[in-house]
This record gives sequence, structure tokens and C-alpha cells, in this order.
Amino acid sequence: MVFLNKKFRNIVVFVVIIVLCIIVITVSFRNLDFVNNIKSNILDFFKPVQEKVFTAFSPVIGFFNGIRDYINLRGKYLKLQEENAALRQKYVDNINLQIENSSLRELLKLKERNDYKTIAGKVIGYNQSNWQSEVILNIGKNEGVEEGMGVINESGLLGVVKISGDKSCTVRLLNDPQSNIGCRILTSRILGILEGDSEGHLFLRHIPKDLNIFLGDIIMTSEYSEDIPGGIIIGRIKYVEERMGEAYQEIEVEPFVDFKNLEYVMVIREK
Amino acid sequence: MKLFNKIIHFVILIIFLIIQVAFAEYLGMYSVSIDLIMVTVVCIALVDGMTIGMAMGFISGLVFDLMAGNIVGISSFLYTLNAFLAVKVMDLGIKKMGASLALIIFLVTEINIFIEGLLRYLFNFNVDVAQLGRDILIRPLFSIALVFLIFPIINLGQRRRWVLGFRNEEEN
Repeated sequence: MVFLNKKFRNIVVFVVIIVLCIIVITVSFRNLDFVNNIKSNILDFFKPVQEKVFTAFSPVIGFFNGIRDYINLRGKYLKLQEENAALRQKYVDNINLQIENSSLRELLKLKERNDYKTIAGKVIGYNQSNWQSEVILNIGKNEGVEEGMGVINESGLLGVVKISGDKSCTVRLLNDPQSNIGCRILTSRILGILEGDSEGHLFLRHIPKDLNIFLGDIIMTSEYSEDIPGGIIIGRIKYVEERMGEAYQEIEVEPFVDFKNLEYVMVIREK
Repeated sequence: MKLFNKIIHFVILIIFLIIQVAFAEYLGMYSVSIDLIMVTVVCIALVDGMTIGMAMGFISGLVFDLMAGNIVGISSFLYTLNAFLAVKVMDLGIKKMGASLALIIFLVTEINIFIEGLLRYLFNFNVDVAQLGRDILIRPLFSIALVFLIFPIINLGQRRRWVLGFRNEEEN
């Protein structure tokens, strides 16, 4: 009888918890403000411990990253040599363009673009799975970070602030399956939308088949976003395919940012 | 003493939760991630019982989703189910030894992958078959390796001890 009771109690607890889960999932799907508030409070609550843990284990991470980098060193060296040669050529072209640009500006009396302001932050947590690709930063509303702001590092744009707590925030990386950012191809000026997928790849969507896309073309942010300034580099076109029966091309973009090796980043505060 | 053990287990679970969030990127290979929380919840369920396991699974899943999740409640659901299934398999009458532990964690991980894939499909995420295949093959191996590290920590100070070898001499 006691055994039956215990068994029955377990089943009741299981059913109650599952019902609770379904309620929580439903509430979460409605994207209510109080869920986001709880999320930001939880982030703030765990921030000190998480930061300490992350700092304590940093040497171990550095060691394993070192091994990974060493294995990939030869390939990277050859790639960099090729890139260096191409860049040298571009540098010469660029100087010519700069001279031409300044003389044209002089003619048109155009104002130089104002630089945006940034807030520096440190990555203190990762959440990268099939469902999402996010990082947690040690800066939040107290430092002026708001939802929707762009996040960059020395290699280019890496994501957008998803939730901002008082002392910390989560950043949805570009390769998150739910990420979509307006962007532009540097040379052809074609506009598109950059989306992530569950494998962590980046795809440039909504580019019709009749437009010419070239491998290696640089992708940057478009100037039409509310929070992210235009002209921030994102990556280069890695792969283009025209699929039968589809209106748009399949374009994969190789990001400049190494999402597996993020440490210090900057949040763009003002456009 | 029993309550003290449960509190200790909860603290261990929270520590693994923080490690999972801080180092998710580094915990895994071939784009297959290691789930420290799932393994810890299963260990707690086997040692402390189904109710405690499910409760801890629910709480840790909720905190995990609130810290770093997309849809709050998914991890709570999965970890609760993991605790329930682990004890249900144990109740089939298998011996308390290493091989049983490996079998339980193997089954729970595979069911977890299947349900996760199903939920992804239901919530309109892309289901990547190649990734699913990699998960099915590699993730249980990671979980089995982890359970032999975590289980002895959770099982410390328990009266009814498990034998982590592949033969249970006490019951033979």
C-alpha cells in the first residue's frame, strides 16, 4: 500500500511539474515584460559568481584554445599570405580612392560621418546549442546598454543585445537561428538579410537569382537599421548556389568574427 | 543528515549549472555539446529519489532557461522528464552497478535528443538531420564518461552505495 502511495505520489508530482512547464512555456512564448525582468534579474544575481568562475578557468580555456590554434596554424598562415597579397593590392587602390574621395567631398561639401560611441565589456558566459547562440556580458543598463544595440569586436559585428539587466546582458550572436540583420554587399551595394542557422552558419537571404554575387565580396551592415550603424563589416561571401525552383540564391557568409573565441567586446551606444 | 545531503546536491547542481553557462562553448566536440546539468539531475534522481530529482530538474532547468535560454520552460520539462525516466528504468529491477548506470544515462540521453528534436520541430526551428545523427552517436558517449565523474560525488555519504565496477559483488 505504502509502495503504491509512493508510486502514486511520484506520478502526481511528475504531472504537476509537467503542467507547470507547459504554463511556463506558454507565458514565455507571449514574451511578457515580467519574464524579461525575471531573466535580467537572474542574470544580475548570478553575474558575480559567473564572472569569478569564468576568470578562474580562463587559463585552462587559454591552454585548450592554444592547442586548437596551433593545430590550425599552417592553414591559417597560408590563408593569411594570400590575404596579405590581396590586401597589398587593395591598399594601393584604396589610397587612390581616398584621394579621389576627398577631392569629390571637397566638391560636394559633404560632411564626414560621425563615429559611434561604444561601451567596452567582457564575455562571462556562453550559451551555444542547436537552439541558440548567445553570450553573456558583464555590462548592463547601469553602463547604458539597452536591448537592440549592436555588439562588435576588432573583427566586426558579432551580434545584438537581446536582454539587458542592470549589471549584465545577453547578446544574440549573428549565427543564432533567430538572428536576422539587414546588410549590404560592399561592392555591388545589394541589400539583403543575414540569418543564422542551427549549425552556426550565416546565410544571406532574399537575393534574387538575376543579381550577380561574387565569392569573397565583403558583407557589412546596412544603414537602415535603427540601432546599428551602417558600414560595419560582418564577413565575406563563401559560397553561392542557385537552386532549381527557388526565387532566391543560397549564399553562405563566412564571418570575420571567431564566435568561439570571444573575450572583450564593445556595445554600440549611439548611432 | 538526509536533508543536508540534499542541500549539498542542490549546491553541486547549481555549480554545474554555472559551469555549463560559462563554458558551454568549450564543453563539447564535433559541434556536440556536453550536458552537465542533465547528468547531474539523473545522478541526483538515482541517489535521492524521483521526487527530489524531478524537483531539482525543474528548478535547474528553469534557472538555466532564465539565464541563457530561448524559450523558458523547455529545459525544465526535459530535465524533469530525465529524472522521471532514470528512476523508472532503475525500477525495472536492474542492479546498482556501473553498467546499469551507463545504460540508464545512455537511454536518457537518447530519449532527450529525440524529444529535443521533436520540440525543435514543433516550435518551428530547423531540424538538422546531420547534427541529429552526430548527437545520437556522440552525446551518449560524453554523458556516460561524465556520469562516472559526477555520480561518485553525488553518491558520497550515502548508506546504500552503488558499485561502479561492472560486477556487483554485494548482490551476487
